[in-house]
Amino acid sequence: MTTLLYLDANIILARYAPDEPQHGEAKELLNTIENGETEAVTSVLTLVEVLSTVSRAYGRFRGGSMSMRREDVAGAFLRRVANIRNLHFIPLGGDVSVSFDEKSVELPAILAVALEIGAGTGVKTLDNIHLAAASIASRIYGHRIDYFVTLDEDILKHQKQIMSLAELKVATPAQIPPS
Amino acid sequence: MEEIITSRFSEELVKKVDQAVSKGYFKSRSDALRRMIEEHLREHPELFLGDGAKKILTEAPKLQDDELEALGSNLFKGLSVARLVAEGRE
Repeated sequence: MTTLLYLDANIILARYAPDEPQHGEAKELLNTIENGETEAVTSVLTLVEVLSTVSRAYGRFRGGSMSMRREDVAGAFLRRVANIRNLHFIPLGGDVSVSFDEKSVELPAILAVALEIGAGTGVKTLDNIHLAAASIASRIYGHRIDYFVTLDEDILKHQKQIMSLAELKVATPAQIPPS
Repeated sequence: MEEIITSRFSEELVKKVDQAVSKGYFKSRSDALRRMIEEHLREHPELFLGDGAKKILTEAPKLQDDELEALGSNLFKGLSVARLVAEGRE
């Protein structure tokens, strides 16, 4: 069975950031995905994070004048990420009704899962949504996500809780065994 | 200000609305239709979206990986993308 990975947004950006310590490993990982040796998924949230992270980096750019406009730079990264071969985007899902005492709230499936796992893991809100997307992906694909690949220090710090609550093995690109 | 609109409905649909009114779910046909339309609009935000996201993707320059890496080496110089993404999650 092919390895199924969940990619955090920071892995995709690390592939294009030569100063990032695991740039080489991230690049290699993305190559194995595009070559079809590994299957990968990520949340649609990644698209928004790529765009906003690049846009913020543009705002901090101090290396002289940039010939491209901010929206073109951010859009160029977004366009490439949206077209990564064999990377599937997990949608937010249809609404489910969750009852709280007398009130019931309609919320996208992914947020319902985030409620299930969020309380116990102690990770940040958007990290939690990525974990929920990975959890939903394993249900969609019918087999467990082999690794939730990230460079996020907070997620890496909470990997034991994530394993016990969401059954997700957290790893950095350097920790993934070759497929 | 209120506006009166005239619409055509099938007999079957009108019957269903009347049933809901007679069961007390709505005060009148008018109340039923107003509330159903309001509810539908609330649940379908996509009806109010423009084509901004589509435009970003189609109008953005199409760059190859080596070009994006060169761009990234300037853009992210001295920055950790892992921290930059994490910052956006604060």
